[in-house]
Amino acid sequence: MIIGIPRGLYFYDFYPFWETFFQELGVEVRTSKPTDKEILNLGVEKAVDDACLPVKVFFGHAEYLKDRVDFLFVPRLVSEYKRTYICPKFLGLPEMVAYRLKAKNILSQDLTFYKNWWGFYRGIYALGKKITPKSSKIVKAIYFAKKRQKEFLQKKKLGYQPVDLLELKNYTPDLKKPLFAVIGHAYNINDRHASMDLIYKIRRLGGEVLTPDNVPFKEALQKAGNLPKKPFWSFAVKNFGGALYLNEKYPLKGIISVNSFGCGPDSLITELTERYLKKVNSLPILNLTVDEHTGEAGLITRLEAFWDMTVERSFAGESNVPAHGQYGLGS
Amino acid sequence: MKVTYPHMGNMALGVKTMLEELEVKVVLPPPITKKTLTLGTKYGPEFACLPFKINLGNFIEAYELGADTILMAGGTGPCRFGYYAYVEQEILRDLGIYYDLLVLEPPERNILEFITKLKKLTGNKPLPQVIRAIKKGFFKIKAADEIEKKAAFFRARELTKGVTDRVWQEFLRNLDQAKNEKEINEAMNMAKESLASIPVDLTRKVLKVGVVGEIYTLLEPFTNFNIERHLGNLGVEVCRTIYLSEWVNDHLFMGLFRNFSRHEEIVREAAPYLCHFVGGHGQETVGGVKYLKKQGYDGVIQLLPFTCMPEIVAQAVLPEVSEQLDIPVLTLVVDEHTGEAGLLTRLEAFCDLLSFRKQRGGNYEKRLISGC
Ligand code: SF4
Repeated sequence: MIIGIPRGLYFYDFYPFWETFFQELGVEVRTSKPTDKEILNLGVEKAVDDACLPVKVFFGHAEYLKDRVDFLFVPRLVSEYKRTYICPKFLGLPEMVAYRLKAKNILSQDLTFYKNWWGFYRGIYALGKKITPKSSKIVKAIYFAKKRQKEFLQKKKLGYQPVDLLELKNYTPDLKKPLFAVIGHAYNINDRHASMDLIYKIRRLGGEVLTPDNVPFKEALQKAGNLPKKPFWSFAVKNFGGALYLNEKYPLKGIISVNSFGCGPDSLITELTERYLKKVNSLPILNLTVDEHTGEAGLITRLEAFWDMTVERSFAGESNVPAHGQYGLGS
Repeated sequence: MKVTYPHMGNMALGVKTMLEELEVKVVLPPPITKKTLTLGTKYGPEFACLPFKINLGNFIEAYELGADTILMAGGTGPCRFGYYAYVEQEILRDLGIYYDLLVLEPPERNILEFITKLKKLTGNKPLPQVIRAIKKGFFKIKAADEIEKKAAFFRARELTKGVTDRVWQEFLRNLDQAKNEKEINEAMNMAKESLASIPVDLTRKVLKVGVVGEIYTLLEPFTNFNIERHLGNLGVEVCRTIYLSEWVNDHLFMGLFRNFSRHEEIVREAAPYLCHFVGGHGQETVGGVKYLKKQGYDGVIQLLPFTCMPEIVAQAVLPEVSEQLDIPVLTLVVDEHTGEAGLLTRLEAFCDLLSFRKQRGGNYEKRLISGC
């Protein structure tokens, strides 16, 4: 049996876990190729027009994979942490994929951390049961999967990006270079095609990148306490809390915020993050919105200008100047 | 303390009554206009959804009239609505507009907790008075919904265009002035009588169209360009899957009145097309199509604001639902750039399609051919 895991959405968060889990159960795991034009076109064609870029990308991967595997793995990831949700689109993902792609062989399972971790592992156990009747085998698979996931998490804490660990494999981050916080969802930042290789571009300019992935969730959660109400999206906690944490802990040159066009949660949280950061310091912020029409040339120009302003100038002994004036009315 | 709250269809009526009964000063935002929307769009985040922007506009306009406290419902996600108030407050503060927030968050498990929260607003009013106030507000909303449903029937069949609307407007005025339950009932009876005396053509073959989708766009005529009235004038009988009184009962009263709302029934119909809640009213939208089909409706319109996440999920599966159940579904996305003319053209085209199907005896014929 071959199970296909599309290279989109939660892929960059959970792939090591799923790979180990399924392999331990004696199943072959296949993933789609990294996003490219073909995948993106497939996705744009198959998804609803109004869906955001990451969802379209996911559809592209699922469409690409669906006839190359026996089962397409599309779990319903309801919640990643206690009392939080992911985006509504994750909640409807299995049905969206099933009915839009007319994919029949979908392996799905509701996974939710909403009440406690037990709910999550019960879901994974139920998933295992769909593959093998042997309980001991499933428990063992969960054990190894967790172990592998933990290693993955630890590496991320050292400054590795998921894409370094999953695709590039032989890159070691160097936190002594000029540091930039790239704030956004893992599936945008790590997708080299969708983000137009943002991480790599910054590194090529001579900088290094930190993202919310490098921040332990607990720390982010604590920082998110600065918000008037505890966010009910884990992404919001990671992005807002992560931005604050990175800002306090590292000598950042600037913050680059990456949003998907039309992303619901981001439309509110990015607003709050920027307003908050502007209040506590004057770190330059660059705002990038990605969708399937974003051009690479524009991005390079803006990135280079941002680099010049934040790094070159500070080398010359000048102080940092905010990116586009004071943020406030009318912007 | 001068309390304001955002407009949403008939809600203003009920809440105003409730607050006034509690002797709280109310400053209603002026009716929503283009200006409201422009203000909201100017100061709101670009990708915030339409209801957010209109709320924001409401608050700016209400502030000019002297309001200083916002009363709003909250939420636990995953839809954005639960976070509206806080972001709006932040934006307003940067504009130099200082509001106090009073957000009714739903983890309150029963009506008692809801009442405790209201206490903040009411000071030390005795409980019976608070309950009376809530009840009265609720009855008004309920009355408005009831007449609105009836009006849909007459609007589609009236001989002189616009008569039903006149009755409706008059009823709203009476309802607003009604001081107690008796007067609410009187206003209702009067409206019913006036409706019954409207000359109608009962032989006319009317189309029945259901409207499903995101609650705010559904309930607030400004955002949906008064879709119900337009459809009615085209001779179409319209019904919605969400009425305000049902929503209040489900979400604020935690289903206090049993068998009152069709919510559970509608959600049940969503399987197998959408087997899990997705926040907002995404599941109700999907279930609503099947529900309406069973009730003999000819077509369904889905309304959503641009970037509304739960509705995008619903939108993704609706083509399949429509095909399998053999009922046409039209999706209309609205935002600040939507033009009324374009929307109307699409409505008309949709209605033409529906009446064509109906004349041809669509469903019936199909079933005969497929031999079951
Ligand atoms: S969180 Fe935003 S970008 Fe991610 S899937 Fe949801 S709407 Fe799209």
